[in-house]
Amino acid sequence: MNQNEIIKSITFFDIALFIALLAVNLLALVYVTFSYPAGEKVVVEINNKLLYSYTLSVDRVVELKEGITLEIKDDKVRVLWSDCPNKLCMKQGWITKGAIICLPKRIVIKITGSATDKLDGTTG
Amino acid sequence: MSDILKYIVFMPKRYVVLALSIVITALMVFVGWMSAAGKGDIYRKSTFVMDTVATITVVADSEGQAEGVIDASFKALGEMEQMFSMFKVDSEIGVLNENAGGNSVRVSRDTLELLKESVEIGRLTGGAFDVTVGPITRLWDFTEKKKKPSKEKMAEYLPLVDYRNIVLDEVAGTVLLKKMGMVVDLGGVAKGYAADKVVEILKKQGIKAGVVAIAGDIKVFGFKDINQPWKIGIRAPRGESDEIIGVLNLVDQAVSTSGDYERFFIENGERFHHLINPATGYPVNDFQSVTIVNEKGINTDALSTAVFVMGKKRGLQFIKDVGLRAFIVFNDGNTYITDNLKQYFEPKRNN
Repeated sequence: MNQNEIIKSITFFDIALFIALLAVNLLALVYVTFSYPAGEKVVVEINNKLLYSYTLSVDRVVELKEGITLEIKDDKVRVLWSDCPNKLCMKQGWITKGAIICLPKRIVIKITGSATDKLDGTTG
Repeated sequence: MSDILKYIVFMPKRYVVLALSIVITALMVFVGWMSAAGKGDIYRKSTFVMDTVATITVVADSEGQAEGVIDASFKALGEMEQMFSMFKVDSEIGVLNENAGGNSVRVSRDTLELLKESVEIGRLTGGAFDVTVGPITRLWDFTEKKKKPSKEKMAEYLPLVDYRNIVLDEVAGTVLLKKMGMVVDLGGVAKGYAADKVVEILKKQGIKAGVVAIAGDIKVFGFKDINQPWKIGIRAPRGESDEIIGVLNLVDQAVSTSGDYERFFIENGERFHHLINPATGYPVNDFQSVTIVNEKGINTDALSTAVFVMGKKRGLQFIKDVGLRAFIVFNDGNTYITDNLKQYFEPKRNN
């Protein structure tokens, strides 16, 4: 079968089938994108309410109006500065999973996404 | 040969390829949908209570159901804090401490039960766990002054520490602290006990599986998924705060860890931490951390502290005598795990 013969033999149903396939594949792609996490995120919760969410892979320094400055760099996050008295959150340094908890401010800065979700808790 | 088979076999090649790719795409979508549907059943929420963070995870039918039972649990935790806290003067324990050496104090059934079990654990551990250690824990300040207490103060307060001076009257529902100046500190049992209570509440509301974590005192019940245990990490004592040394696969068990890294200061190269020996008033430095697994959270909470305080020789003997399931990190970084815990433990995984 040469090229011309193939083109001649294509019917309306062939094209319809291709379009249908393309649509199914596109739908599948959209579905997978939305149902699986795109990557790890830095999430800031205050008093148990989700306030901010940042992508872990994008380096940045964020000043929160709650008196805390976060630095996100190389898939890690730390509290760069805090106006709280004991500054335990700053002393904790960089984290790549788990959470930094600031008790006086009732702020939780945590990394969510595939890696951290494997554990259901940590004792110690 | 059936008609369908004949059709497939003699169909032009390109239709076979197309038909196959349709089938494969449909399968992929189906598999993706199935795995997403399985995941949707787990709900998790955290709150600040008992001077720490409590996280409750439940397997529920809907977000509405999960929210309802978790919020009810948070409320119960708040009520327990109101009863057990020694820092609140109007708590039941606050009032009890205020009346030490004087009057019997009427308390709730929960407080009475918790005190009764604490006294029993005191007896079991030969006083290595003692809820009347309050006068001594008050002397230590790990957050601001970061200095060890004076010998004089220690000598003055040590005689006040003795769980046998708690007099419980279960019929009248009252408690008496015999000596003036005694202070009950439930910090070493209340979180484990609270985890037990919250699991009861969740089960009563029809929840079949979940995790109640009050800081490092954790109780799991049921399976996470079909035949899938809950995975609880054990913190690496000298690592970053998010580093783990191993993972426990647990079903219907509680786990607690006592570590010398939680509250401490270093003076002249010596580490002083919050796990105080009630007999001497000073911390014990044989271990970096002690993890205990048991059916009851009150036991894991109190016994991890007790074993830590007993030190290496007495602690390991106690573990053997009682048949405890334990994972220990010694002060040189070496680890020990009891035979009865090995099957549930996997060493550090790099996430």
